This record gives sequence, C-alpha cells and structure tokens, in this order.
Amino acid sequence: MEIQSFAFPVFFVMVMILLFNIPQKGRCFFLLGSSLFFYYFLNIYYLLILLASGTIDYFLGLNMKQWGQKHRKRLLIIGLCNNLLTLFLFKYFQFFTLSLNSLLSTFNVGFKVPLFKFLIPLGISYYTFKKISYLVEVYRGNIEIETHIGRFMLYVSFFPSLLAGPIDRPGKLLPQFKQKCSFDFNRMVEGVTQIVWGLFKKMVIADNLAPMVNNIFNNPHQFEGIHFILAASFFSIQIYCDFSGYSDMAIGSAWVMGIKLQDNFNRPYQAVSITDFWRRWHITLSSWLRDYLFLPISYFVSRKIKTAVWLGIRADKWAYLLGMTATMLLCGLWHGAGWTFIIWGGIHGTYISLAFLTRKQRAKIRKHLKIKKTFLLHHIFSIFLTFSFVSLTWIFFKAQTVSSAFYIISHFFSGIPQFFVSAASFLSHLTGQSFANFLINNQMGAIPLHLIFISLAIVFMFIVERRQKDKLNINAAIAGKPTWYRWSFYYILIFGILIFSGFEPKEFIYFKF
Amino acid sequence: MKTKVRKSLKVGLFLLILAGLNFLLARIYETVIMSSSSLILTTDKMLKQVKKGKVEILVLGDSHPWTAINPIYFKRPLITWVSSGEKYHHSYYKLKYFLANCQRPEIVILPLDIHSFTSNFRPEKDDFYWVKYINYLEFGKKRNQFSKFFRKYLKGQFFPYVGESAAIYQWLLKDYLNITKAGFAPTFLTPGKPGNDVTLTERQKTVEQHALNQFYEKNLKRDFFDPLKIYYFNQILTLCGKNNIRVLLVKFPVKFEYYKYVSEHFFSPESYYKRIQSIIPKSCAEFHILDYQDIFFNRPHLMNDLDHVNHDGQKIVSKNINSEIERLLQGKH
Repeated sequence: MEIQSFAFPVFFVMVMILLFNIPQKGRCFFLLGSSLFFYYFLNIYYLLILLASGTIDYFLGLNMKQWGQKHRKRLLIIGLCNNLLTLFLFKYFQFFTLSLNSLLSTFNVGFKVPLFKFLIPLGISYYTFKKISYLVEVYRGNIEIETHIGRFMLYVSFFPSLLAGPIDRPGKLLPQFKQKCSFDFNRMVEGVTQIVWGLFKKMVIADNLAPMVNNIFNNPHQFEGIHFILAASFFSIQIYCDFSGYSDMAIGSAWVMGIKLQDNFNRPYQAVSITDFWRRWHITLSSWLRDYLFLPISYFVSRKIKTAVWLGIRADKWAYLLGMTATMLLCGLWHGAGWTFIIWGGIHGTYISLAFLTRKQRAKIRKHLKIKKTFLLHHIFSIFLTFSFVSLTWIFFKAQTVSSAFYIISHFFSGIPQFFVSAASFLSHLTGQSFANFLINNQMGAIPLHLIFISLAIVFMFIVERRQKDKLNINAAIAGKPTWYRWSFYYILIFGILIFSGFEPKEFIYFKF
Repeated sequence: MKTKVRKSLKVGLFLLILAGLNFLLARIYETVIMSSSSLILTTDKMLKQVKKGKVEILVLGDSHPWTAINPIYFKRPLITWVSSGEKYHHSYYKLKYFLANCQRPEIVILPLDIHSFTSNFRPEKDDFYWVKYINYLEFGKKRNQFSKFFRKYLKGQFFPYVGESAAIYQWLLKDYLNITKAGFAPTFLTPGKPGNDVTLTERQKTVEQHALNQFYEKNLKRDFFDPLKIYYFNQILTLCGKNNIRVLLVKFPVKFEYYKYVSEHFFSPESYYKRIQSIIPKSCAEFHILDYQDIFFNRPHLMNDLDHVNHDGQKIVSKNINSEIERLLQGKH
C-alpha cells in the first residue's frame, strides 16, 4: 500500500475517523496498531524485523536508567551494534561481499565469500536512525526514557514517516503522543493541502520526468551532450519533487492527526552554496548526521591531534575536514549500497571541505572585486553555480555504474555545436512540426508538448515555493488569501494531478534507501 | 454551531464545484478532444448511420481486419466496427450491443490469427469508450481482477480524462489518424512500396521483437491458449448461433519470417489451429475458416509489416473475402 496509491486514502480516512472517536487513552495503541498494520500490508517479514529490533532497543533504553555511566555506555554500544548490524546485514552485506570478492579475484585469490541475498525491509534506513537517535539522547540524558513500549514502538513505526522519513528526533516526537488531540477543521485543511501539494510534485512533475531521465541514464551510449545536460537537470528536479513530495504527504498526514513532524526541505535549489544546500536538503538527515556523526568525529579528531598545527593545517580545520569527509562518505553509503553513492557523498564532502578551507580567500577576492553577497547578480550566479554542481553530482546518484557516470560527464559537451545548428534551424522555421522534428532529430525521446507542460508545472512549483518566503510549509503560500484564490489553487493541483498522472502509482526514489 | 454550519456549507460548496468541474472536463474530453482524435470513437459514428439502415456484414476484431477489409470492395453493406488491439471479450460485448440496437447482420467476420488466444493482456486504454459496452465488473470477476476493473469502471464513467495527458497532446498537435469509409483504416505505406525493414539483422530483430510483444508481453504464464479468450470466443459463436448469424473466421496474412519464427520458438501453427477447432462448441453458429495466412509469403511487397497488409494487399484480401461471402450467401460454399 504505497502512500500515493488508491488504497492509502481509504486506509487513512478510516484511521482518521476512528482516531478522533476513541478515548484519548486508546489513541496511542490505535495509532500503533494502524502503523503496524500499514507495515504488515507491505510485508510481514518487514514487520517482524522492525518489532524485533525495536523491542531490543526499547529494553536497552529502559535499562540505561538503572545503570551507572560505564554500564550505560555498554548498553549504548550494544544498541548501536544491534542497529548497525541489522542495517549492514539487510542493506550492505551483498554489496560488501561482491566488492570483497571482486578485490580477491583481482589478486587472484581463489577464495570467495558466500553471497546471501536478503530482502531489504522498506524504511529500515530511516527507522534505524530514529532508534539510534533515541538511544544516544537517552544516554546523554537529553530526554526521558520512554517507559511505555507502545509509545516507543509508535515513535519507531509511525506510519506517515515510516518508509522515507522525516527522521524525527525523539525529544520532539515522543511527547506529542502523550498530548491530547481533538479534531480540528483548519488543521485538517492544512494537512490535506500539504498532502495534495506533495502528490502534485510527485505525480505531475517527478513521475513525468522519470521516463525521459531513465531513458537517457539507462542508455547513455545512445545520447550525447545536450541530452546529458537536460537529463541531469531534470533528474535534479525529479528527485527533489519525488522526495519532498513524499515528505509533504507524510507531514500533511501526520498534521491531520495532530502530530507535527519536522520539515524536511527548504527550497534547496535556492541555495547559494553547497553548505547552504545541505541546510535545505533532507534537513532531518543532515541534522542527524551533524549531531551523531560529524560533531562526535570532529571532537574525537580534535582530541587526538595534540599539536595546534599539523602538516600546515590547524587542528580545528583537520577536525572539520576529517569529520566532514567521513560524514559525507557515510551519507553517500546510507543512500545506497553502491560505489556511485559513495562517490556522490565523497564529492559533496570534498567540495564542502574545499569551501571551508578557502572561505577567507574567497571573501578577500570578493572584497577586492567589490562584490557584495547581497548583489542580485551575485545571488543569482551563486544559485546557478550551486544548482549546476549539485546536478553534476546527481549523475553519480542516478547512474547505474561508476563507468556510465564518468561516460556521461566526459561527454557532457559532445555534440553541442551540432545541437546549436539544429536549434538555430528550428528557430528560423518556428512551427510546431519543426519543434517536433528538432526534438526527434536530437533524440529527446519525449513528446514535445509534454515537456512544455511539465516545465510549466516546474515553474509553477518554484513560484509557489517563492511565495512561502521563510516558511517551510505550503500553507504559508496561500495563508491570508481570499477564498477564490485558495480554491483556485486547490483545483489546479487536483486536476493537474488527475490529468497528468493516473490511477497507477510509481515507487518513490527514496524508498530504495 | 453557526461556525460548524458555515464550514459544512463551505465544504459542500467546494465539493460541488469540484464535481461540476470534473463533469465539465469529462464532457470536454469525450465530446471535443476524443470525438475528433480518437480513432476508436470515430468508428462509433458509423453506428449512428447503421442504426438507421441494414448492415449485412459486421466485421469485429483488431488491426488485422481493420487494415485488410476495405468496404468498397464488398457488394453488400459492410461495417468494420473494430479497434486496435481488440480482443475477443471486446468483440463479444460489442456484438451484444449491436444485436440489441441494430438489425441483425447476416455474417460476422472475426480474425483467427496465431496470436489471437495468447495470454497477452496489454494495458487496456480508452476506458471512457469501453465502459459503454463492456460490463467491467462482470469481466473483472472473470479475470480475478475485480478491484482493477472496478477502478477502470470508475475512470470510464466519471473520470475519463484521468492520466490522459498524452491523448490531449495528440489532439493539440492534430497528431491522429483519420479513417475512411465505414471504419476502414488504411495503413501507412503508399502502394507498391515494401516494408521498412532494411538489413537482414534488422529484419530478424524486428521479427523477434514483434513476436515477443505478441506472445510474451505480460504473458508470464507463457500460455498461448488463454482460457478467458477461449471463453469469449465461444461466447461470440454461441451468440451468433442463437441469432442465426454465420461466422467467417479469417486468418489474415503474415510475413513468412514471422510465421517461421513462431513455428520455431512458440508452437506449430497447424496443431494450434487443430486445437482451436476442437474447442469450438458444436451447438454454435455455422462458421467457415478462411485461410489467407500464407498468401503473401512470396509477395512481401504486399505487406506493410510482419502482420498487416498494405494498400495493395488489402485490395486482394478484401476481394477474396467478398468472393467467399458471395459464394456463401448463394449457397455454393
């Protein structure tokens, strides 16, 4: 039962109706039951793994209360091992086995590690991080231990965010399950608006870009320069709409039930630098990585480097560099068990590190050239540069293999002169048929009008997001507007979804992680 | 209380406008967009004329009869009420409708090709059209896919435009086929020109791909005798038998390389047709099988592609079928 399928609204409406008609005391168990049923509907095997690992973490957390610091640390380590081993077994075992066997055969070693294929439970990466977050916060004493097993399991398995986040912190989510909540019409409208907005991004934009993007990435040798540039740019939009669309649906669904989940995106393609991008993209993951990987690693490194300067670089910079590199490599690995993802993470880590190392020099250059960061041209250029860089790295994310990713990048500018010749020819005989011929001759592989409509939808999306201003919620874009304005917006979304999609759902990209 | 009433009224008004817009879009889709661009809907326009007069020959089936049977070569009034990819269950429900709303024809022509019974159920489109003829709920139960066909029923009845952006683009770009008289759809090639396969390797690839599409696509059971297709095929014959209609089962021409590929990779066509004959119920209509499958083996220039005749080929096939019909109706068959 996918969140964007026919069955989910039926399930969700039934949960809603029952939720606000049962006593407050029973709501936690009812939500837990609904969440477990939702997961069971996907696969009972997934449910059993979640219950088993969740139960272990619950009892570990419970026992931390009684023991002293030394034993609490041991319990934390056991908990981390439980979670990371589970994740490794189901998600990474095959990848590491294949890589190891490949390495062994390179050195002509006859031995091969046996290969076991496990079905990867959907959402395991997300709920594992939630459980780790809980254990660490309990260990640090930042939150109270959750003694109610039902509430703890609900925190782990809450169905709107189970499959692809947001990765909420226990300190923010757990207390909400204890609070009283009654039906609120305005809250329901806001929640449904966010759900529909998410559906629009997913079904109208992401799903319609997917065929063209997949065609080019799956068959790179049939295409050249301009196709790769378009495919990379469109994939950037596709993955954003796909993932933020899901997040909107999850956050909207939870809000209808009175649960506030953390926002996950803040207009990432308006970022002016890669660092800024990571403050806006998958916010709950990047903040999790910052708090549980980057800061501990950096702190560890800074304690280990005894001297103030080592190899010409200050100790605090070393802490940052090593912390950032390790964090981004692991971030790449989290996204997928494959070298393309690791390289993707590594490139981001390298760029952020370079940006950090050179920030003073770049500030000097700007000062020398009298360029202020507030200049519109500088702002636009920074956004364009950041988007270009991010799109380039998405090639590794999307490509099937490292070699096809490098092929695409190395052929980015091939065929460009011929493209401009045919573009000039098309422009000089500007008709619908010449546009169709132009696209056919350049193997765009998509109906030309389709691209125009999708591009309009993308522009519409960016305009709406611009109207949100500093708020991360779609409702901010239409708050305070007259009824006819808001209703027109709703009708555009609803009929856009109906016309440009259909009744057959396509899987979310981030479900694979 | 007043606020609750106001909110309820607001919600009601919102939903009413939504329903109204949906109705408007559905009507625009059917009466403006599809009526001009949908090939399948334009064949229905002929039905209106047929309801007034008498048709002696009713042609049902897929693109094979659609491109091979040209009404101008027939002496008797004929209508090709066909559609691309039409299966026997489509034809059955259309025949039911025809018999209920028009005068009984003397002869029904059906294709009997080597792919006719495979378990190849490609995604079926044009729900807005088929919902008028097919009882989707009944058919869904028969296929053990009730929920899928219930969705198709809802879509066809109330939301025909859902997911049909491609059809809207076609209409905007005026990128659709036109049909000629009485439903005949000429194929693309000009007279005398051969098909567009070039090298031997390309031709072989085309044959393989086409065969895979016809026999393997969505046919996970690799079943070349789908029970549901057999059921509806027999239903057509039974219905014709009850209404005293003669049935002409036509094996339309195919290219030799396609026939050879099927024989070597899937089944022997001879045993296939023997089996078909054995499943036809004895109490059904008087039927005759016209075998034109190999008539163009040595004349590939009369074929548009592997299993459709071209402009020149349809003349020969149509004339042949017309001669057979005349012989049949004059009692000489």
